[in-house]
Amino acid sequence: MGADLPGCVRRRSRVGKVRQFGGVEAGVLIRFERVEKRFGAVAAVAGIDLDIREGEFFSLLGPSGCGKTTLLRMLAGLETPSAGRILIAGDDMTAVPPYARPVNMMFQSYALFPHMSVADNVAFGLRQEGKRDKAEIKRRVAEMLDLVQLGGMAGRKPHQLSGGQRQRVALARCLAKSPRVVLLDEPLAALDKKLRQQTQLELVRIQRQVGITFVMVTHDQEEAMTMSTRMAVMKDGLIRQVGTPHELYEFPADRFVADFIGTANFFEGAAQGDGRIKAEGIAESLAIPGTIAAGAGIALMVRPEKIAISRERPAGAVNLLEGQVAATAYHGDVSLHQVALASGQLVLVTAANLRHAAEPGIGGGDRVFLSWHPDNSVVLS
Amino acid sequence: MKAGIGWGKRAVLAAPYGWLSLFFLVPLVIVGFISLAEPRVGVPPYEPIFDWSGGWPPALHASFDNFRLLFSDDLYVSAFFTSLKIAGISTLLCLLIGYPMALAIARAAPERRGVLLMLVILPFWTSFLIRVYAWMGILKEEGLLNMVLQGLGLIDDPLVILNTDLAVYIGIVYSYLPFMILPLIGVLERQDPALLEAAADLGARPWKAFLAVTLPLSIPGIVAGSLLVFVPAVGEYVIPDLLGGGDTNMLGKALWDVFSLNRDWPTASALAASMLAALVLPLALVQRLQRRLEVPE
Repeated sequence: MGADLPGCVRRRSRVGKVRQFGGVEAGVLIRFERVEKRFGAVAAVAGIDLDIREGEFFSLLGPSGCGKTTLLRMLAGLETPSAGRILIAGDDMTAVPPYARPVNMMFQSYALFPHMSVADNVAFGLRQEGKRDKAEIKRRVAEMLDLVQLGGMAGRKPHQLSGGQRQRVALARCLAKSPRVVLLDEPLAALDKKLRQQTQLELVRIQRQVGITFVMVTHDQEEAMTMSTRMAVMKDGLIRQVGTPHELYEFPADRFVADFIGTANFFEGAAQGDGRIKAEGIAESLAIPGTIAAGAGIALMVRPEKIAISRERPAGAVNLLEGQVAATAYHGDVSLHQVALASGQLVLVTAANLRHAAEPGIGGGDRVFLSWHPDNSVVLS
Repeated sequence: MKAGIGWGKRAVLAAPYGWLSLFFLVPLVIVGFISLAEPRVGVPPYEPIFDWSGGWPPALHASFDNFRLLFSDDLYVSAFFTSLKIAGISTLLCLLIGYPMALAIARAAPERRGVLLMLVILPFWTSFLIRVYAWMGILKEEGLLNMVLQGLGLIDDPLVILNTDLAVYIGIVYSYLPFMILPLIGVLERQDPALLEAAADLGARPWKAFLAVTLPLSIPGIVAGSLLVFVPAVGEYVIPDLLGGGDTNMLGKALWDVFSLNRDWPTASALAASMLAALVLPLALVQRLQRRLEVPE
């Protein structure tokens, strides 16, 4: 990943020198080992093993209450695991207090110190180290503020800034010490939609520029996919799948992941043993990728954009379904069709509006044919 | 905005102003007039300021003699400084004792916070006078404190606390502690706990995080609590009278002596007016400073 900033002194872990640890393969910076966190009878994190590699932009994604924030807070040292170990750069961090970890966090509320100027907020972490002189701190603060494009704002107080500016001060503050890991807790949740999209790319640019490992918590799958190099989908305190955005979208491990990342159509049924399944409510059997032993109950998952839709019966189509368009949402670039099959099942289909046409094309009430190649579907057990 | 105030709003605003002028400003003006009058033996015990016997315009019998007397008499000057000293030290003690208590209550689990808050307010349900009398019972030579200490074998001879300045400090700190704690709880409770987490995350040990974040953000509460303790403590009469010794010379006591023993209303009024002036000015300054320090959310 990108080189360090000029003048940016890579801080070594305070707990011990950075070293490779027996069993931790090269490149792994953070390791969770069977980490659990119980609040009373509730297990917020129910046993997680996870490796995060140096230089990654890693996202923890899941619905609210899935334990992603608790996992992040344990990494920061703000919560103590009930069981298991957390290693950073090979050092056991489980019992290390937050002020001694090579980790800095950007809080969801930003948690800027309201009585300090922007410059003092950014300098706060540097001043705690006690070994830097004033000129060095001043230079570093200016460098950080330039990085987040807040050069002229050093003297302002947080309440004099807009939401987006505060967010950038919070980012500058947690980058100032050049930590090994930066933690982001729903970093964009407080911004409006337009600003959020700009900031997504801005955060990725800054992460590449400073080369620090970022771990982000978000409930927004679009945000996670846009920004992450890899991500983990969580539910009920457990990780359901880890992978790149592409892997998670194209090869989801289970129904939950398929449904949470993007939109999915499911056809429940039983395998026939000949590379086809008999789906509920559909007369003709459907072709699936590969072969599955007869009798196994499976779900066939097809993404909306991978289904072809037409008014005319396509020639030579493999999986052909007939239905009636129940509703259409025109998005400009694409149109979203809800197609009702004879069984009453609704299938979502996205069609790109490729041609500059005078007519809106397929619309509500039309009889249509749906088809997809088996390779474009995924079998989920 | 001021131009836009309608009659309805004016009427509503007039109510508190009317109340304040009637029960605060008018008595203050009366005290001010009496302070300029000449004392005499009679009812009322002062010469009228306006002498109407000569018809219009009335002759004015006003002088600053009473004030001159105050500043020339060591008794009053030393009472003034003793009062400031005792009130100041008591305020500091209240802050030192009250801050940790307020912090503990503000950080306590919500279901326990109500109980703790109740315990702070509970003494108010008993008469202030009775509580000060209770301290006489505790502090006197054959009192509860000495009995316990002697019973434990910690001391041989009883400690002489009652009728000393120490007893006055104990009484004032005990009585005014809730006025320090309550505003402190107010500001500490409102602090975002994420701020302390952020400080720890950025490398501040708990003690440094307290000094850098919690303490400066609680200054408005410290100022408010200190004023609530200091101002009434300066003029405190009951506590020095009941717990203090003959040589505990505070303004409130001096005022009472002049007013009711000497029946010298003009000198007492002059004393009250001087006390007010000496307190209002620094108060106004402190409040201005506080407004500057306060951070908008």
